[in-house]
Amino acid sequence: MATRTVSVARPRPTAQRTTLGVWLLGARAILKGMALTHRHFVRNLWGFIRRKPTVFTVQYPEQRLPFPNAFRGMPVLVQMDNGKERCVACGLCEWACPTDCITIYPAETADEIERHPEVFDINMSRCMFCGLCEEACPEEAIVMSHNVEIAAFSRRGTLWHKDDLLIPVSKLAPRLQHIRRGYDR
Amino acid sequence: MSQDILERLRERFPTDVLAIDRYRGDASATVRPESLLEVARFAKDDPTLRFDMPLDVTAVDYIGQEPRFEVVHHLYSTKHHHRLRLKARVPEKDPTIPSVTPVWVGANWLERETYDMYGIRFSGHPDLRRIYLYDEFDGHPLRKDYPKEKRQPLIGPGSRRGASVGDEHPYAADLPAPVHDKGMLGSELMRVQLGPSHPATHGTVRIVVDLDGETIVNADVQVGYLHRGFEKECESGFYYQAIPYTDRLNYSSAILCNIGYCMAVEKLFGIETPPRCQFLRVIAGEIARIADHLLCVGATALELNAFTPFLYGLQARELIWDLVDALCGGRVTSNYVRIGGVSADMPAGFAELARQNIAKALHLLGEMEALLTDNPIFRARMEGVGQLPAEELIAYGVCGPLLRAAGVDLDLRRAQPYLVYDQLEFDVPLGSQGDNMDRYLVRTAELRQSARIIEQCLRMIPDGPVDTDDPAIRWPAKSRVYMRMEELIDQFKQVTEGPKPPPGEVYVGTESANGEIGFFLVSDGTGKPYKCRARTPSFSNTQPLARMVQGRLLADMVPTFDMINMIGGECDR
Repeated sequence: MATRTVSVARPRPTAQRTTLGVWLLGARAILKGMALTHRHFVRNLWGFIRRKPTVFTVQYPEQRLPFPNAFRGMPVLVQMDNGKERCVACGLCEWACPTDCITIYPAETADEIERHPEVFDINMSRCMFCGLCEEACPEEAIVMSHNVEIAAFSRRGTLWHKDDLLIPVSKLAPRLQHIRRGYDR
Repeated sequence: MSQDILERLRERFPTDVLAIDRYRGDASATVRPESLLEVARFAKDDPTLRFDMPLDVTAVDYIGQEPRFEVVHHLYSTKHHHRLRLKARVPEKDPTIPSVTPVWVGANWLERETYDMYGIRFSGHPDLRRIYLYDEFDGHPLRKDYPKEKRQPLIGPGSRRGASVGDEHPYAADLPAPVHDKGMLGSELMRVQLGPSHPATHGTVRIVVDLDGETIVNADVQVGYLHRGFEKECESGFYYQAIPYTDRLNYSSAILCNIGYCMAVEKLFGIETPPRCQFLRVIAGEIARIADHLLCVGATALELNAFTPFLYGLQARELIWDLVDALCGGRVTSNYVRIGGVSADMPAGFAELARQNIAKALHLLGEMEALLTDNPIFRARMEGVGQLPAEELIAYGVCGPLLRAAGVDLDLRRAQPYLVYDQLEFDVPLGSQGDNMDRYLVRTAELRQSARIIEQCLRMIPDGPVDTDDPAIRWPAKSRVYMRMEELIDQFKQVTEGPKPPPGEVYVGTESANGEIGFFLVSDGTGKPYKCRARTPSFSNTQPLARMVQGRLLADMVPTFDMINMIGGECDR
């Protein structure tokens, strides 16, 4: 076993110091704190002057950070080039969803892929972005997008229908790549 | 070893121990309920057993069988590092069992929870009231005949919990009597309500304090404001559907909860995950531990009025969360670990990003420490505050950094190495006095050790598969699902029926950021867990808060509560 225990080093007890010593300790703490915060301040000011900001915060929503490919936003439906959904309404995502937020009514069409969802609703107020629907889907038809802005003014607005959920396949290329890489074990 | 424990118990209690059992390395003994207290006392005092820590008390509802309920105690020995499960059956008609609070004081809250959830009465319990749910709640929700959809009546101003601020204290009748009725100067005691939503407590918790001047005479900690039926929810879904819920236990280090749960299911199956998966789990878990400790230290500084260290701490945690984001796809709720594997391998360039961000985070940690460790105000608030003797902490079931700060060498990564921790080199920091200062120092030291572990793992991680190649456990790979019939059938079966572990019961304890998080699973052979119990460190750690602050100033409550680091999601489940 390569582990061992170590004792943490405590600062010297103040009881061993004189009153003046304690005062000096306080003065030192103030100076140290001031020096540290001013170092940050001057560095950020210098960055601001040179127009190369060093501040850590970003001005959302004007300024946005890129999401990594693995990022799971809201689930969306993949729209094929012919404008139809790729989904065949097998219902696996409905099964896998822990919160039961997906509702599918399957139907038949005259297309080559005969089965399709007549209704495909996701209740975004229940969805917890876990990504199990994407993992369950055998058709690569439901994927997690990078959209996280799902706020609505009413409860009805949190219910997303099929037409709202369809996203062209070209816009989802990075995510599809991630799925293929990640699940291609 | 576990055979010896069971033999020893049976030797001492030939008639009271009804059955002994070993399953997947877990030792369990079924005893007659009347003799439970006696067996418990023996298990604690016998030098070869020495079960000094009550990990968990819960029950399993075997509806349709007689006796119906099985009360389950999980015990741990900090001396010998072994475990025992004590079980006793009680009938539905009169579900009464002796309380083990005379032996382990920490069983108090655990038994209250079991009473709340199953309606099992513990005779001899000093304070048997509901802990999570309100008094008007009808029924006991974890019983199998309690429907998940059942609605409860809304409680309004007429009821006791809804009483407004100016009224008589709504729980006056329930609270234990104050230690003395009059203060030292003969004045009346003042009752102050801290919370349920108080700026100086992170987490929603209500602490009712009786004050004599500014000295705390008595404190009653009431938890349960974040109770959302974790266990009921897990029992009503497939095994894999519980993983996102485990994220929400400790939401500041979600991956550690994922790991604990998935390891428990894997133990039910009796499988080992591939080495690369184990390394990935360790990396992800230690990243989560760093995030948790940074938040704890930062928030403590904030609540002691030091805003700058808090900002640096959060900036450091942001960098750490970028790593979680790149690896798992979610910042807070990572949902990373899967039964038999992990959801995805490391992305390209992750090792570089991890080294960079962790180095930056440690630099910020150094700045935080420069502001805090030597600061006389911070020290005055932390030093000599909140101590309890190590024996008492153990009897309360306290674990993790809190216990290590008191000088007890108990880190499951060292005591019972799981995953690949036995191949890694790291230190376990221990404190000497067990006060808040030690707890803070132990946490910052652990942060650095976690960074060390990650660095070693990034160097040592082998190539290979990240998932168990067994369609009965792990969903098949997507490329094969798309193209081949058999894998497609496996996928459908796995999603619609869930993985089906063989019948049995297991307990797995892992070291989370605040102590031992344990999952007790009972399988009946179907795709849904028959019983899914989470033993969470925050619950046990919060329990002795009242003892820690008794006789101290009200201002000492804040740093003590912060250093306990109660995470509402985990404490209230």
